[in-house]
Order: sequence, then structure tokens, then C-alpha cells
Amino acid sequence: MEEQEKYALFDRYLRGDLSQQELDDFLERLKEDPELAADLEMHKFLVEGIQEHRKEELRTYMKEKARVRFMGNPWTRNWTYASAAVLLIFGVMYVVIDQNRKVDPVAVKDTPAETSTGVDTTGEKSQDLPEESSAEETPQLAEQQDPVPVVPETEPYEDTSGVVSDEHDVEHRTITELNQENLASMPKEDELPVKSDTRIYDTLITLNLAFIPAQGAKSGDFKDSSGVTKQATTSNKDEKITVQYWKSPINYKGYRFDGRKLELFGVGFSDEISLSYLVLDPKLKVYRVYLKKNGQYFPLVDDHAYHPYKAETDPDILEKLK
Amino acid sequence: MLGRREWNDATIVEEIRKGNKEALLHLYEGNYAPVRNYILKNSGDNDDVEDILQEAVIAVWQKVSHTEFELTAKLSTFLFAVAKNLWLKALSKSKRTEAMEEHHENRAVSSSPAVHQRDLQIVVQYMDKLGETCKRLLHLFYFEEQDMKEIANRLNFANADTAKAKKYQCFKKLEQLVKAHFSKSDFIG
Repeated sequence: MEEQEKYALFDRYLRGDLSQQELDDFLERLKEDPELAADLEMHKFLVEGIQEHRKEELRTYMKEKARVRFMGNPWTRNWTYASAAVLLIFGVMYVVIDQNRKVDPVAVKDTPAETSTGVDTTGEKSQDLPEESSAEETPQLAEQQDPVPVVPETEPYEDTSGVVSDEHDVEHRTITELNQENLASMPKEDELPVKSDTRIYDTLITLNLAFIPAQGAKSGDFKDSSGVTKQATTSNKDEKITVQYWKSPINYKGYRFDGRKLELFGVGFSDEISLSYLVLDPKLKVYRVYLKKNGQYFPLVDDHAYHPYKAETDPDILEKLK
Repeated sequence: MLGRREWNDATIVEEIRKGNKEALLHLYEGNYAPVRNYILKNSGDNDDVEDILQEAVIAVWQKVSHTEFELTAKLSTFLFAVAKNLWLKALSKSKRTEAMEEHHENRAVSSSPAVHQRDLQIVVQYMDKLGETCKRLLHLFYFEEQDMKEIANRLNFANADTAKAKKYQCFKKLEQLVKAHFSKSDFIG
């Protein structure tokens, strides 16, 4: 055999490009011909050296050029904490303002007919707030602004709705008055009840990672192509994933996953849950876990950060998952 | 050259295929935070973060360069998983004093890993002595594992056969240099 042919054969062998027949022949020849086997060792050694040379080149490039703007990355968890803190502050403010309206003596005095009018005056502002559905109240307000004498209880509105800026004044007044009058009756800062996330239920789901050989299994288990799948499944690796159902006070819907533990937010017991995975690269043992929720698949990012559920839409991937 | 905003998975893949090393930087910088978080949380330090991230980026580069590569997941997902595996492997290796050998098809069997690594540096050293075209050709074939047609296209050879012949010459040259080195050192030793 000519040397160039021999090298081409080595290359195809190393890349795994030989057919089963060719591979059997080649392995047989290696056994019988020690010189060929030695040549193959040399070939492998050079190939590894070439690969290492390229790696070093790429590594050096990164070492010289990479600039990490770690703090500037908006998707770090610090940022998540910061936004959570801001949300919490708004949440507390909302509760305080809401309580204030109920007990505020000014609001009660101004609107003797209806206690809810205190809310109505700030109807426009409260649209930003989650619970306050001003949808029903806004049309009422609009109606009451135009025909003055029709509804008997319009008088209190006349005072406030005539001058738009009054609305803000009313709110301001209520807050300051609350601060002055109700300070004594308010709980101290450390007594303020802050609701936190609560864990509802734990369960364990086992992923059967049949494509990964168990530790200690020889690569030979994989090579004998006839028995591949069977031997692989008997020596498989199971990944046990703890699934926790959580509930957050702000009804957050999303998840956090680190490969072993999955925290689900906004998922109820009525939802049908299962886990499956897609092998991305068997050699590197890379796979991605999918959450199946009510028939939809959601890819899970396992970086232990909070992510919203984002359904998989790629038809090819969906086909593979089924 | 691409502006910062135009980088996304598709363009990164495209640029890697063209051999644009800037893509490395985007993979590195874009995935630094999650990899760092993970490694620091799992008893690693900042040096580990750099080493592991570099290796992971290189692994992704190699994978994407393959002629047959198809993007089936977000690159960040892929890279993070690779980094995690590399780190877990590094951890278990350092835990066991006697490193458990990996049963890899491509491994040279004869020597211990340390000796092997040292010898490998000899090949690396002689690679540097080859011409630029030879280096690129050998890289593209043995590291990026592209097919001859694509390599011929990238390096402006007439066709795949020309590239094949040239690759053989380059490989042969490297082999001669390395063999000469060993026979010389054998003689001295």
C-alpha cells in the first residue's frame, strides 16, 4: 500500500469514517502487522500535536483579546436581585397606600356616600398597580363627569374631578396624613410582614440518560455496534432531578434549574408535568432537559438563574422530543 | 467585521466557519457570567473560570467548524453544558490522586499523560516551523475537521484533490521533523 493511501486510511479510521467492514479488516490487519500499528501510533501522536497547536493558538488569542465586561452584563443575578428589591419596594408602597385609603379620615370625610370613592379619585394612577382593577370604575367616573344632576352621589366627584391636578393633591395629602397620624399605630419596620416564596411540594423525576455509559464502563461497550443500545441501557446513568413546586407572593411564573434541582413557579397540581431530554452531543455528554407542561415543551436553562417559561417552537426539535 | 449588535448565534456560527476569531471573543465574553457563577459556587476560583471557559469556547468552536454541524440549541446553552462537564471532570480528577484514565478511542496508549503532554509539545514546536499554508491546512483538516472540498475553497486550491495532495506533503514534512528530533535525542541520550 502506498504511503499516501495508508495515511488516508488512518485519517478515516481516526475520524470514525470507516464502514463496519472496512473497520473489521483494518483492526485485523493491525493485529497481524506490528509495523502498521506503530505507524498508526505515530500518526495519532502527530494529529494530537496538530490539534494541540491549534488549541494553543486559539487560547492565546482569547487570553490577549478577551475583555470581560462582567459588571455590565444586565443578565447577572445581581441585577435580578436589584429588580426584585425594586419590586418589593413598590409592593410595600402599594400596601401602605392601600391601607392608608381605607383608614384615611380625609377620604372618608370627603366622600360620605361611598367608601370606594377614595379609590376612584386615584383611578387613573392605580392602573399601573396589579390588583386594582379600575376597568369598572373608570367608565363610571367618565359618566359622572358629564351629566351633573343625574346621579345623586355626584357631588363629591365634582370637587375633585373638575380640577385634574387635585387628584394628585388628594393622594399626597393622604400619604402625609397617614405618616403623621398613623405613625404610632404602624408596625415598626422589622415587624412589617414581608411575604416570601413558599415551597408547596417536592417530587423526584428520574431521567434515564441511556446515551451516557455508567462510570467504569469501557468504551468498548459502545464500540461493538451490534449491541450498542442494549449494553448502553444496561449500563446507563440515571439523573435524579428534584422538582419543587413553589409559589411566590407576586405570582411569578418561571423556573430555576441547576441540572439537579428544578424549582417551578406558577405551576399547579392540575398541570401535567414531565421531563424529557434531547442529546446535543453524545461524545461531550451534552444534553438539554425539557419540561413538558400540558402538552407544551419548554427548554430549561440550567444556570441556576430565574427564567420565564418559553415554549419551544422549532418543529424539528418538537418532532425529536415526541 | 461585524458591529457589536449584529452578533447572534447565526452570525457566530457563520463567522466561526469563516475562521473569524472574533467569534471566540463573543462566545467568551457573552458566557463569562454564568460560567463564573457556576464555577465559583462549586469550589473553583477565577483562574479556573478562565481555563474552563477557554476550553469550552474552543470545544464549541471545534464543534461548530465541522462541515456537518447543525445548530440544534442555543450556543450559550451548549457552551454552558460543555463548561459544566469540563469543570466536573476537573473536580473529580483533582479529587482522585490517581487520575482515572478516560477511555478514549483517540488516545495514545503507550505513555503516561504527563510524558505524553510533554512529547506533544515537541509536535507543537515543529508545527510552528511549517509554512502558513501548511499550518492552516493541517488545522482545518485535523482540528476543524472540515472536508477537503471546503478546505480547497477556503485556501484557494484548485480542487479537493489538490488540497488532499498538499495535506499529505505538509503532514509528511511534520512527520520528518518530529522523527528527526526523536532520533537525534535518542542518539544523544
